[in-house]
Amino acid sequence: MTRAAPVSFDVVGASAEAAPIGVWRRLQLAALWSNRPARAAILLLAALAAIALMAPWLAPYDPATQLDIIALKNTAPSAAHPFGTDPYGRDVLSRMIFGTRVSLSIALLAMLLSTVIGTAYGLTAALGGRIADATLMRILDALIGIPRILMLLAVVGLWGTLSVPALIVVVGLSGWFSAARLVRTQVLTLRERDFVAAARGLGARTSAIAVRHILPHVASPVLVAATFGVGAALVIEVGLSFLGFGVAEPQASWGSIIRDGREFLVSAWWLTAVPGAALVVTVLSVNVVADRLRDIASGRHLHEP
Amino acid sequence: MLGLVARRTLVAVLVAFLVASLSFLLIHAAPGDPFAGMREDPRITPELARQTRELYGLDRPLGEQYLRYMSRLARGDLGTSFLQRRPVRAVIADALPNTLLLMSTAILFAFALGVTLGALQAYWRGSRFDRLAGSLSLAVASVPEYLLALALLALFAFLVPLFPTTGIRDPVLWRFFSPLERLTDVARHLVLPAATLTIILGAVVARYQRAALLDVLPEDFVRTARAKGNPATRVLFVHALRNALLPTITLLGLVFPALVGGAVFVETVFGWPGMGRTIVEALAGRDYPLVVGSLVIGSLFVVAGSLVADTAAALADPRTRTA
Repeated sequence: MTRAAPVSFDVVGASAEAAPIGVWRRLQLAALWSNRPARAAILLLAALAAIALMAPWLAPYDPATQLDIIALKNTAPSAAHPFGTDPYGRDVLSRMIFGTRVSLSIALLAMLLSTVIGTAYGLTAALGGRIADATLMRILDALIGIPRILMLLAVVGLWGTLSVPALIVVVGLSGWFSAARLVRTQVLTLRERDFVAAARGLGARTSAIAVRHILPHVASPVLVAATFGVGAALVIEVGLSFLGFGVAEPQASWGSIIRDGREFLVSAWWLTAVPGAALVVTVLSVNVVADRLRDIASGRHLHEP
Repeated sequence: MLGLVARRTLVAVLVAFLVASLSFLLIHAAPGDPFAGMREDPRITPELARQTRELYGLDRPLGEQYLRYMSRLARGDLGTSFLQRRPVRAVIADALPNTLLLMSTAILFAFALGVTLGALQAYWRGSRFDRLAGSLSLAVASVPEYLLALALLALFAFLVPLFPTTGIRDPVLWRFFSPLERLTDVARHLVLPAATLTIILGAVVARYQRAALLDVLPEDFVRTARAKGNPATRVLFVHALRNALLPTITLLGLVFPALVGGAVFVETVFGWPGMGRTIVEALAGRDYPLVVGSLVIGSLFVVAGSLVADTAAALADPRTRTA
């Protein structure tokens, strides 16, 4: 059997679907920006990112230095220390600034890792044949059933404290399950579409179909899920550090600052209130952006007044 | 229906096997061992250290340890806790009912609260109340359990001391309480931890319930009910709500693992002697048998809870019964 000479996709007339318009065009960033809550959230997240990037230049003190263990123990907010000091006499503002860097970078990178693994797993399950699909899905069912925090506590707790890169890996490794399920469902319906049949008819290999034809179509739902994933990873990392199983002392994370203030909820409220408020506002902003992205991806924003 | 139960039971077995194997692997790959501290203790001779390791089987080859461990686990023998010096099974038997009490209270109130709020929002859809409740529930659903727990603790245990700060019962007076006083004492201790989980889960339920109701409203049977002359309240709260409850029951199965995760934090903050706190303490003390036992039992608990929720959803929906 001789193979047909390579044919340009345009010949089949499937080009409109085979070559989807650019991912970013599809997302219609203008529609994201025109929504007032989403715009506020993006500006806020951008400010946080700037703080994280410029932490060493913004922080007035070293985050780990105990300035004066007696005189500066749990002092209330003042001009010299806008967010007060902690039980060890460290400046909370400086710890918050460096904590932003630690917590945000762990959340972002862990989400990236989760998204890559989840997408690959979902694609493999959907395109790898029935046996592979059934096996991978039963394993996924089992993994989804285990609470993420228990999974992480088992790893982190037994290993003692982890370095930041190791934390990124374990948080990322525990967060890809829902992304995998999402990608699989999406691909299962995409697989039946005409443009995939056309590509297959032209002799494209499964891997080529997956990467060139199917992946661009799952990009926007994956982006929505990944955005929500940043919030989830952030909450998990702060939670781990709060329990004392996250970043190692004296490194600052929002969670370890909350942990330091746990015993002084009322007498040194700034220790829990400041990182707590930062966490809630950040997660809320991420969720607002993700919510809006989802509306855009589903075309719901077009029906708004 | 039976297929669902059979498939989920298979998943439960798989989960138990996975969790047990993974925790075995993790424990033996992790640095340090439970008796590492003994080496520094001058009173413990090398001979005694060797005997202790032998006693717990830590001197055997890894493969043999794994097989012994899995076969004991399969027979329901979870070993002995290093820290508490009693069977892991007894420790878990003490902790599990407390977690069950906390979670069932929270689930009950969260669904009552969420379904009511979601239904009211759907009734006044588009109103200022609907928008306000919508933003509020989105905001509350974004709050991690540990933060809400700390906030409630600061407010209602320290600033306005209405409720006790920690534990499940009064440590001193418990012995002198009558049965009724004991009941109210536990209830008072339960309020804050249960409220934390209730508020967050309730916000999630409300969002689902509102969306589910709005999905049902355009359906034919709703129009028929209205055409028959039923008042709008009856159409919404009786005809539509009954059908819109299904996705909400399904939601329980989906959020159950997250709820157990939330209980870990809530139990830690409020010192509630349940499974979550047991796990955190076991990890901190490197109490391996207790870590593995509570992780395996905890995961099975989650799988069982999800199975119950999914079965309930299937039972409530006649369309899935024949399938």
